[in-house]
Amino acid sequence: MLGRNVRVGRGELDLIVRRAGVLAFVEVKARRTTTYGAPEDGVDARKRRQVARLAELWLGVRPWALRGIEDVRFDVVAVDASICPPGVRHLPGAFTLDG
Amino acid sequence: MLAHIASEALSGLQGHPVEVEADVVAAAPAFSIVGLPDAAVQESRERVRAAIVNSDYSFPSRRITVNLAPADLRKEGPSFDLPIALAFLLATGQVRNGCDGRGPLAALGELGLDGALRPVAGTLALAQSLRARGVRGVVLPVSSAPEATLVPGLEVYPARSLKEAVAQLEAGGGITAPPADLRALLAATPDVSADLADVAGQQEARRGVEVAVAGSHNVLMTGPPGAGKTMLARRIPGIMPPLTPDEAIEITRIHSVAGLLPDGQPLVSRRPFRAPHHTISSPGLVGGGGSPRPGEVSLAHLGVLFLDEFPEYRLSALEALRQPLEDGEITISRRLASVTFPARLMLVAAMNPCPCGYLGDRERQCACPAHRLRQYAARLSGPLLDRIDLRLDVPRVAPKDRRFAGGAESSAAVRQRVIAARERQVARLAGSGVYANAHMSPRDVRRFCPLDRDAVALLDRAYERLRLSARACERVIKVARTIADLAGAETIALEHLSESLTYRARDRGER
Repeated sequence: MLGRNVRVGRGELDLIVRRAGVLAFVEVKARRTTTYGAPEDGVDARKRRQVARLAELWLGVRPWALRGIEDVRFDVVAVDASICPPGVRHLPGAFTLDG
Repeated sequence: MLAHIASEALSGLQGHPVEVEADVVAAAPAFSIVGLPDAAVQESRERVRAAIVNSDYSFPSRRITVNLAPADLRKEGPSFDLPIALAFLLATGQVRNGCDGRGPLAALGELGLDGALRPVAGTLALAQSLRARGVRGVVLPVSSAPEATLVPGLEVYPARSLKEAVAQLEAGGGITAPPADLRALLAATPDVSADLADVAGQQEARRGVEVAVAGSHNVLMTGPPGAGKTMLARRIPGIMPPLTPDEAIEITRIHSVAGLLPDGQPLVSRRPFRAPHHTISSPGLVGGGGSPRPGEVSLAHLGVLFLDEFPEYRLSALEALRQPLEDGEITISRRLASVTFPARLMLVAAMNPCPCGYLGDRERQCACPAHRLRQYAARLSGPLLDRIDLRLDVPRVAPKDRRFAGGAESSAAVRQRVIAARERQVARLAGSGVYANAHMSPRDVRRFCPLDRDAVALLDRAYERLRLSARACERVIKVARTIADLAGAETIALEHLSESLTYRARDRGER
């Protein structure tokens, strides 16, 4: 775990984690109701672009964070709070810089 | 890590070397293709990604940059899928290049989402160009391989899928496809063209067609509906000389680029017969498009372009025909590219004598008002008609001739005479770059067309009386040359020239 709710400029990265050679920027999205779609659907193109840009900024000032890293991923963790206990889904490599 | 694979891009019929470079680094994940790719090349990302995953390789979450060099050449079409995938697999270390020290292999091919390889348009031209720049061999889709084996000296490594392509690359060239035997392919072509023996009567038109084919002259047939113009035209390829290996390769190149090669047939082994409908646009006829594609005149290269209902074609299309008819090639210039396609064709045009079709008929009355006749005739411009060497009347068949259908001479017999006449021409014109009388330059005409004294006198009189243009006069001599060749004569005599003039006299105004 490298950071939680990391502020970069005016944005925020929910989670930055690493395990073995993988560095992941994780967007956590929770919803109380699925009336408007599943929580992972809430990570729209704007949000994805924002996370990707913030990650690039974050990496830009910390080049050492890539030492020993092979893969860099953008993950989404979806928390569905419409059921009890809440359902949690992890989507590794949910998106990339180009969409 | 960085890796690269050689490939080839087409502009018209011309191949250009393209180096596909892939760079994979640990950074925020992205997959981008640079180097002036068009939409189909951009979409290649999705096909490559799916094909790699579905071929049990891994697609790591890293930054992947693919560069298609040189960056100033526009890259089109899906044929870069395979080289991109291979360069990617090399760059991620999942595959090892087995070519070290043996000269690199190039790759071409479109990928399916399941990793299957699909054929590439223009394979023959691409393969020729690869060979010409000294590339040792090429890995390509199994369905494109037969075409590539037509190129002598190029090693061809077919693959059905990405996995098989990887195996070929890791072996530095594994299982090779045997080179094609061009002559055997040509010899094995069955003769399926319709026979001239089916045409009833029409002795004069048959003779005219024979003369036209013997010298590759353009011909215009005029006659009422149902007289047999189309029947005659369709039988012309059957009396043309068989294709030489070089001609077959030239035609195949064009048809391959146009994506018109039938499945499982790597070689066009018959002379093309193209009969576009009269609604065709001028780019459709002479070629065009943002990245220019060959038009009908090029698809008819070394064969027949048949334009039925000649005056019904768009004026712009007809006028666009003039330059390729004269030069035997067509240059298409667009913003991004200027390409030249060959267009050495025999034009066979057919028309009715008037809009109703019965002008000059022995029994039926023409119902066209005079102004309609004028309009109809005016659609064909003088400069265009000037380029047509023979005008043939194809009248309605007389009842007694119709009954004797089938008794007429067969295509094989006519073809023998045509071949003999062409052989004389080829021998005479050797070294001048053309193979038929119709394509002689003015200098060739002066050199190779000696007229005897009577013929000279007739020509001088005809020049005045028929008001021939200088070009028309030259064409009359060319046709006379062909008639003399059919007769086996070296000097053009009065009878040859006078027959030639009869094919001119049926001109507008002289009827």
